[in-house]
Amino acid sequence: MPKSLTIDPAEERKPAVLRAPEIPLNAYVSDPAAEAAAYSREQLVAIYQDMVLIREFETALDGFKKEGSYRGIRYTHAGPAHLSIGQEAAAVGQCVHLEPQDFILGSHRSHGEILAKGLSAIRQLDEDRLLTIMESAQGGAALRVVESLKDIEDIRSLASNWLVYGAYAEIFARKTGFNQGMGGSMHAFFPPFGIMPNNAIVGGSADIALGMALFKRINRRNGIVIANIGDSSAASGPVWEAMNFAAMDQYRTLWDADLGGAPPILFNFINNFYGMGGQPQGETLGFGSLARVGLGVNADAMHSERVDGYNPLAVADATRRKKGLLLKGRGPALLDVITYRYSGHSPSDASSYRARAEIALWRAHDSIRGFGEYLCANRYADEAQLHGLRESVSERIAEIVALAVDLGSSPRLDPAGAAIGAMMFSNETADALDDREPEVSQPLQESRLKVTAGKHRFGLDEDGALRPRLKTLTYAEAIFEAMLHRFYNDPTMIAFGEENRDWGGAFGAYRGLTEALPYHRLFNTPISEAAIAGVAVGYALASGRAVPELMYCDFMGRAGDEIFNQMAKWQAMSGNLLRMPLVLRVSVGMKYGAQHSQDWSSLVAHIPGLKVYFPATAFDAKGMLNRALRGTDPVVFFESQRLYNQPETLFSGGVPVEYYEVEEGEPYLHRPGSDISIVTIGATLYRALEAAERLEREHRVSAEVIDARFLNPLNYAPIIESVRKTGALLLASDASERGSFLHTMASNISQLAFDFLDGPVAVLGSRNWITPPAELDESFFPGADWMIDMIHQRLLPLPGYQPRSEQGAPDIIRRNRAGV
Amino acid sequence: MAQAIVLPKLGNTAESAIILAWHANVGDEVSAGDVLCEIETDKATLEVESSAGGVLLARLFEAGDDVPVLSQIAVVGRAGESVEEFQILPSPEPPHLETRRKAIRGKAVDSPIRISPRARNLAERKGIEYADLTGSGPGGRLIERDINAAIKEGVKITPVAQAMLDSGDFQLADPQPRSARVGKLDLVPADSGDEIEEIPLRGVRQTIARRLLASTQTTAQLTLNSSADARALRAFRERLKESDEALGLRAININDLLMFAVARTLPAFPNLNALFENDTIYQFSAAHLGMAVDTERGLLVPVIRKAQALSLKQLSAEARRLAAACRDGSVSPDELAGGTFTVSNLGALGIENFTPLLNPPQVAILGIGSIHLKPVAAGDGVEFRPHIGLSLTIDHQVVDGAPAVRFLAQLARHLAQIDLLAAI
Repeated sequence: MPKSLTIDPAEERKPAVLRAPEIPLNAYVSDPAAEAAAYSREQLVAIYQDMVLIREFETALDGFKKEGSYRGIRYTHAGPAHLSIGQEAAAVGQCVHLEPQDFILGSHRSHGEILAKGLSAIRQLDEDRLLTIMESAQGGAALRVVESLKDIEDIRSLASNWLVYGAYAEIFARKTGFNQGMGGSMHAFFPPFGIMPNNAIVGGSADIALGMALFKRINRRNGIVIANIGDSSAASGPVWEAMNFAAMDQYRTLWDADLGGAPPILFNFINNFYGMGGQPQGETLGFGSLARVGLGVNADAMHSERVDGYNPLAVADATRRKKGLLLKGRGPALLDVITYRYSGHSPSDASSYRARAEIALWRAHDSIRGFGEYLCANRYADEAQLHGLRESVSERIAEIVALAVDLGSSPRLDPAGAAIGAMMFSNETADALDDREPEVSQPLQESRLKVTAGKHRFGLDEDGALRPRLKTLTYAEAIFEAMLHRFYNDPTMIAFGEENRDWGGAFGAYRGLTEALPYHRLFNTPISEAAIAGVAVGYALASGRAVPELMYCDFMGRAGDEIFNQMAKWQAMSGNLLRMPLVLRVSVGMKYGAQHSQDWSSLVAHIPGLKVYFPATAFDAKGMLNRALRGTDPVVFFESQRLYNQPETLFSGGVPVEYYEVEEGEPYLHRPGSDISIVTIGATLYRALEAAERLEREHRVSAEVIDARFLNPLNYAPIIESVRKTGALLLASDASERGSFLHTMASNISQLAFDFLDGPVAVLGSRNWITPPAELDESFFPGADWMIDMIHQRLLPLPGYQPRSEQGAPDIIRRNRAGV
Repeated sequence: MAQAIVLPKLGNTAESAIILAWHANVGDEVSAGDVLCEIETDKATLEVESSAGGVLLARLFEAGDDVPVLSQIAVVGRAGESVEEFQILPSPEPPHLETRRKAIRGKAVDSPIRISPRARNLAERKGIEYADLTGSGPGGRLIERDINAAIKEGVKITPVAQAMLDSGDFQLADPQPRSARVGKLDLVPADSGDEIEEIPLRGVRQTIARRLLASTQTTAQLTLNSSADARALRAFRERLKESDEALGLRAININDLLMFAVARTLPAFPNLNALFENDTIYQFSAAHLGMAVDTERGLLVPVIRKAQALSLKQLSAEARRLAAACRDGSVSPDELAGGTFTVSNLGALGIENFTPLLNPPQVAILGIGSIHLKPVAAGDGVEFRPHIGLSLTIDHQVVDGAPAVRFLAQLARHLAQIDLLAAI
């Protein structure tokens, strides 16, 4: 909450009535004369043709899915196919007024939108550009295939066929698809045409689309962003979060006016009245009309209205008007575009939840037939011409799909999978993702850097005593310095979270950034973890560097889909078309009980596609964050609240003022030893060092202590080297023991160093129960005592030692049998 | 849930104990506090009680096994409950308890030897036979340090093989063994046809053997023989025997009187009431009197603490209690340690004088002989008076002859007027 805003009780307590705008429902009235003035004959026929093409495209898939054939072409499609037969007008109408730089994001049922947007872009881009795009996509592989088609009249026609082929090839998991087959039916997309990721998670596109809209606004790019999401997603939390995030007052009140206002986003609900088999309108939700949802979000009710999605011109008109508002910074906007799917949710859906009569009613309103009649009635075409057009589309679809199913012309990626593995991370670095001057509020030398740079950079004095805390650089300040550096180098970098501005983050890591940065580069968000993560995903996919913050690791549950399904996967699902320069800072809590003190690094490490860093010292905090902030991959950057106030006490050189990086994936040996190795993740490092000290002093056992620093990627070589020397390994972290990443490490190390082991690798985590109140910390988190006890009981019995806790192997059976 | 019964830690020094006999069978109902088995340490015989109630599900060791303290020795729980988790190594065919027990011990021929990959590699590289080594890792696993110890020791013969050789029943099959380490498989029966019972040295006997050998090897022993007029002893003993039963003095015997006299004499001779260890002499003001007791298992020496401060009656009672405890095996390991001077009485067996062996680090031991008549000059003639034999062995390294002689003389004077001494 900025100080510039005052909450005045006199104002807040005053009686009044809240008035809301009226929500228009199907306000568009067809006016052929006006439409004739607005659209050329060519445009209107193109609308018809595009709708026909989409229906035929889907019909072919329906045939493969249900009967294994289409027009004599035999093929069995193993993957999903959520068809949009019946919804063509909503897709095509939307794209009539969109330009190539406008983005659309969709859902699992977005084949129609992909084709409509692609065809729209192809009509607008110049031919050279089109050729360049086709040549550069997959090295021109798809273009080579499509060039074999007969009767291609021109570049645009070639591009249209290329588009249809690319979509089919993608759906059939071919290397020549838009995303080398890694996106498939539900995720296919192609950025050069403004077709951005389609999301198989219901509503998943809402916050990602907002992130892209924010990218456009913050980086002063043209165009709007449309989230095409289903009616049922109106009730999903992340969608609601995204709408509110999009409607924040600060865009118009606190951000620089010349940026242009709110992010240009249209939440376009493709309302086909069914969410799987449930009916949001009338059964599973209570809004009566979806357009009502906008009333709950802001004073403009999101400019919400219902649009007749069975009339492409009504949809085109609504989209045009909303686009105008959005470009003026008056978003967000909401459209409830009603439509209907004749096909089931998927080919396996027998539509048992709806009456055939209902389907027949909608077929009687069929948009293609209706628009055909409109064209004939207004003499743009006659039925014979339309019939001929339908036939030629159908034949062309058959030719293209025959190429797409053929493994010779459309091969799959190497099934051994190395190519897929290579897509998981881009492993690139970039000092800046754009070459313009970064927008900052003060020169670097006047920033808080002048304070932190002047502090002691190492926490111990010449006698080994701790230096005064306030005069010594802390872990939190090391994070600040890394953030500051990248902010002053990469103009696209933004950071946001629940209390990032003024407060400086709940733990003060951003103190000093408020003064250094304008609002649009560092801002507060609603308490909406899903949107915080999802917006960052969209921002990064749009090629900006995003640093969202989750105040507590425990809140990752609220952002589960965004971290596990979105942040982790889009680089690979794009088939290497996109990068994900996203660093999610996550603070691991302490002393705050069961819902604020968990270390979930293991959950994150389990998910393919995420890099996982966990620095334990100030030196590493800065060096690792520097590394993360220069990369182009998604990093979950764990920090420990045990450490924010800690100075650097281990790296004797202290924390350099100047820029440096820690090499990614490299563990660090903090204390050499010869009898046993202890490898830690996170803040357990310090307890391990204490245990090592005691082992040396009291038992003459020499322990080597290594901080893994990274969970993924991780170079095992130094750990194996240590184990080869000592023969015994204890792994420790604050994550609960069951399913801990330590077990993955233990398993790998057992494989790699079996012949050198003098005992099984011992894993010490926190207990498999709730984090108790702070006063009972010792009953939950592993301390030096437990480490020594486990070494004594599992690896190297210490003569005369009386363990304080039970850490022996039989205890594993007992605890597991008890489920704890 | 089934619970393990653990072999308790016995005193401060015992690291293992031998299970002498089981008092409960698998399947028996036991209550907490019931005696499960009898064990013997190097110093005493003790009983292990069940710490839980239920059915005895498994005995993890057999009578005769030498078991490290704090090991799990039995499992008590509900009938039918699995004892799987108490098996340190799952055996390939679990049902048979006997098989499992052997797997735990890791010593049965057909069960795997528990050794870490690292230790095995080292052993193979160095040509160390590890089958009969004792592991110091968790659950008795052989770990690197065990192999290193074996290498360092340069041991060529396994302990079992050594014991077999020591018995005389066996000899090396090949006088020049090719293996770096001789195991029992390298031995053949000795040529002699004698039937010899093979008794592995352990428990009390093992301790005695070690101590006595050490005694002769580490001390310079000198025995001084003398005797003391025993008339007062006898007379006083008679009076005690006939005293009012209510006084509780009737059980005081000659040995008690001797111990009493020694206890009261010793404080004036700190150079005899002393320990010699690490080139240091530790002299004691209190007399912690060791008392040799013959038992079925061998010689035991319980200690009467601060004997000089006890009344005759108290000392007698304590001596009786300790002797009984030694004989029934209930004496605690701590009661067998800490003596500063020892008295060994063979008088009842008719021995006049003998050479008692020192109990290091003590520097003196007094042997008591029988009471016999000794001619002494009385007036002009010779009178036969009863005398009791006294044999004092000293460690001549630190005790000179003269003080020893003075001690014997003073003791003799005290014995000659034992009734007065008791009155002090």
